[in-house]
Amino acid sequence: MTVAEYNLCVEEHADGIYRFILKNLNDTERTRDIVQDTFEKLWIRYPDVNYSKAKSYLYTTAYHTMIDSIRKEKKIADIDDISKVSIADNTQYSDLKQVLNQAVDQLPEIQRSALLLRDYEGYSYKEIEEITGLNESQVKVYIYRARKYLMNYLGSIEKVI
Amino acid sequence: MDISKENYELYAIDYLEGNLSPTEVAMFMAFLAEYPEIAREIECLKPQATLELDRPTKNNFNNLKKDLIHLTVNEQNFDEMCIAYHEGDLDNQASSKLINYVSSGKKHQDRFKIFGELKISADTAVKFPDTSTLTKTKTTNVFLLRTFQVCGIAAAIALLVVFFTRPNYRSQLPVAPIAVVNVQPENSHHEKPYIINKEHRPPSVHPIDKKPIVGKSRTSLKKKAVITQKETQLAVYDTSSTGKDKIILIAGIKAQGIPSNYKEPVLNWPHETGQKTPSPILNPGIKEIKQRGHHFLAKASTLTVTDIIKGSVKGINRLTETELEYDAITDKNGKVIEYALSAENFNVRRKTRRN
Repeated sequence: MTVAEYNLCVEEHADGIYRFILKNLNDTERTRDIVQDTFEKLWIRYPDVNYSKAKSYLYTTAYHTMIDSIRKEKKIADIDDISKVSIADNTQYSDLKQVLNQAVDQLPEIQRSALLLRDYEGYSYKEIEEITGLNESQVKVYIYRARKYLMNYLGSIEKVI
Repeated sequence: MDISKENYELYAIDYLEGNLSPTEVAMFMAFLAEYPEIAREIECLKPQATLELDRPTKNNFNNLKKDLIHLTVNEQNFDEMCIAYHEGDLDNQASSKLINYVSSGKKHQDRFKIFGELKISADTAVKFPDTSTLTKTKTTNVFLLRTFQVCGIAAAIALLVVFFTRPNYRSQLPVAPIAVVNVQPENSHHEKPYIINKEHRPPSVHPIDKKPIVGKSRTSLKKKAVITQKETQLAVYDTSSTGKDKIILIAGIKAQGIPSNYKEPVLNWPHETGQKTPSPILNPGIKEIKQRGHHFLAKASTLTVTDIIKGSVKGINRLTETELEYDAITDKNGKVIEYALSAENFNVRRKTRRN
């Protein structure tokens, strides 16, 4: 790609990558650093990266940088460590989105990453497989499990509607 | 790797798709036997997996009929079917079956609707704080740019060091003395040496020009020199052939370091013997000097005989590395009336013509 295309990638994907990483880490400073590192890595290799593949390259790099950051901070979470928190009281939530965001925060990071890539960016199972390094079946399982967890987190239907 | 409650789902999909090896299938079946609730969950997933894998093809109608027969949506697999529907993983037939099941009760409808709202949407208000820090405006390799900057600074420092520490070469230039030949008039009572600057000592004669003077008559010198009253000729002759005591004089010292205007006059005494001017045999090396001698000829008339003799003796000594001595007897007026040249094995005394 050219320098102009690189700058286009910044405009088009910086915000999305920032939201994706921020949703995973809930830490603005680390998220900012990861985004900076991601684009620096792209800048180093920009002559070799095709512009049409830049988005995938950026998300892959950002994801792995995030995982490295998490491991470095010794926050390796068990993939099955689902916080089985559900709404046990009678509090009614009119903002479904807020509740869902709370539920997403409870997910293990791999499930959360797969779900966010699916919903935030609309990636297919195949594309998520390429980004995360998981196989397609695993991606599907994690997304299914994440959806079920969100459903359970919402509690009964009467509390949401 | 053992199958456990923590990782069984990784095997479940492959089990349903028929991708496990016989050993793994046996392990998975054993695990399901140990956990009945998980076995029921897998059982509920079976029709869905079957629908995804055994998609009807034009050439497999039997399989299609078989799938239709086994397609069921029930309470056990309803959640997975809803998820699959909203993820876009169901084909048209499975989707229609699910829709039919959903429409059978409001509870199913509400739950189906909630599954459709489980999609997480990004908050577009959240943006990267400063994208200007990410953009690049130059293609210059930062590393090279820094390298050039460092080299430029180093070169500037080096130039300053050289400028302020450079040596003063002007003070080191040698001042070469200039030899001045002073030609005295013929009747001058005060005879001065040819060279004013006595400190100027021509370097040694080239070894090829050095010839010894041996005895009275024998000499290995093959060169001849002659001078006449009218002009100066540079010639060589061999005294040995005549058997006479001859002064072998060689004009013009051609040696390194001698200034071009430095000349030593030659002397020939053939007149003493009455011998005519001998045939000059010019040495090639002296031929060049002869050419320069034309300049000398212009001044020859100003030279005294004594000047010529002294210069000649000096030349002989230098060429032959001998110590030929000159001695003269003068009258009361200072004019030379008798010459004497002597060396270790050589002694000549002559009176001047007038005498």
